[in-house]
Amino acid sequence: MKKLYQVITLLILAFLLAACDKADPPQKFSAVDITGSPWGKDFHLTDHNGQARSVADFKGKAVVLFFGYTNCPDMCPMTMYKLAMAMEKLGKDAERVQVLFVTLDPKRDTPKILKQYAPAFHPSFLGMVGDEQTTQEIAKEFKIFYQHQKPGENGFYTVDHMGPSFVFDPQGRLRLFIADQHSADMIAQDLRTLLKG
Amino acid sequence: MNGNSAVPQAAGELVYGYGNRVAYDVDSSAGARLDLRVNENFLKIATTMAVMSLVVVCSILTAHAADQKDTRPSTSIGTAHSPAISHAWARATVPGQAVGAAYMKIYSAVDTTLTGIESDVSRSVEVHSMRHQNGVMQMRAQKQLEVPAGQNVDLAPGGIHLMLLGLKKPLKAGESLQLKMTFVDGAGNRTIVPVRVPIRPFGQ
Repeated sequence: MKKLYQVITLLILAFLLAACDKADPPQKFSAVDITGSPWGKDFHLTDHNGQARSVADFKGKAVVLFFGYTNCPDMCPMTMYKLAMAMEKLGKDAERVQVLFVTLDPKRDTPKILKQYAPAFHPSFLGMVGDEQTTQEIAKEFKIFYQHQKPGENGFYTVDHMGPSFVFDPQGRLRLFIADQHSADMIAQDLRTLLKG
Repeated sequence: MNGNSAVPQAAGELVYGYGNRVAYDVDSSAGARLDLRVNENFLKIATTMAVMSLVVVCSILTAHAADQKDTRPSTSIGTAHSPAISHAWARATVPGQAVGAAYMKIYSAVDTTLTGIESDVSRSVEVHSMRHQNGVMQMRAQKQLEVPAGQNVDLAPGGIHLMLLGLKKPLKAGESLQLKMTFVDGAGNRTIVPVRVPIRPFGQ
């Protein structure tokens, strides 16, 4: 164990020294670079057309994964809109990007509803759904906290959830973490960089 | 010794603009007495001027409010004492979205409580609070909304908002929806305020 700490300390020192060499290395991405993270390897969900999908199905395209639910009035539609704006800014490059909306509320968000919802923001967007257990598993895999709240008298319930999006590169590797504060411009630029390889 | 003897006794009448009169009577023992008589014509002129300036101020405010919004002003005032709703708007929704959100400012001269809302576009309307905590968005229904006297209660994205539950059809930008908001003040007076809510496109 002690040896491990020493190795880590050495690595950190080496990294710091390397950072000193290149004064102010330019940031490659606006979003958070999570390349090489041990989690978020893959997903197995059904798209709104009923087709089973995983990362490999989108090889050659950058994949943006966004988690939400259609009964979310504010943050989800605004993020979907932001992603649609990014697609518009990408022009022809948008053909090499696939945005996936993963519902955290499979009970209400049926494929039929998702088929109306996701393409309303951009015709290429796909709604993705799994059963309760699959949803829990994928949320865990991508470290997305979500929690269904108790329904009110009218049966309506909200879902507490985190709102980041994740980006896979065209080789199917998880690369970026997009937060609320990242604009459509930043997302478009990051996607362009990823597409160039 | 009479200390007041140095003050001269005087009485008279001053006449100034509009024929108003101030009668004065300075008496060493009684002190000064003023008697203000306001000319009736002055009252009429003053009232007319006050009304005219109110009209001007109101039209300026209305024009200003109209300038700030994309569409017609949505301010609705039921009676003189009812809460005033301004800057109301709702965001457009897409097909498949069963809920919408409406935002506004609520002002009341007296303490009041928003106890119920109805809309012409949804099955029901709830007050929801929203907050971000450790990156998690939390939305909770509130039974009612307190509106303290003299304060603007702001219903805005990322905060308190009205949830339109069970939309009958998607909210289309450029159109508007109608709300009926019921307020009950401390004395139990119920006021229903009708509000026209313009629907804005995404990104605005």
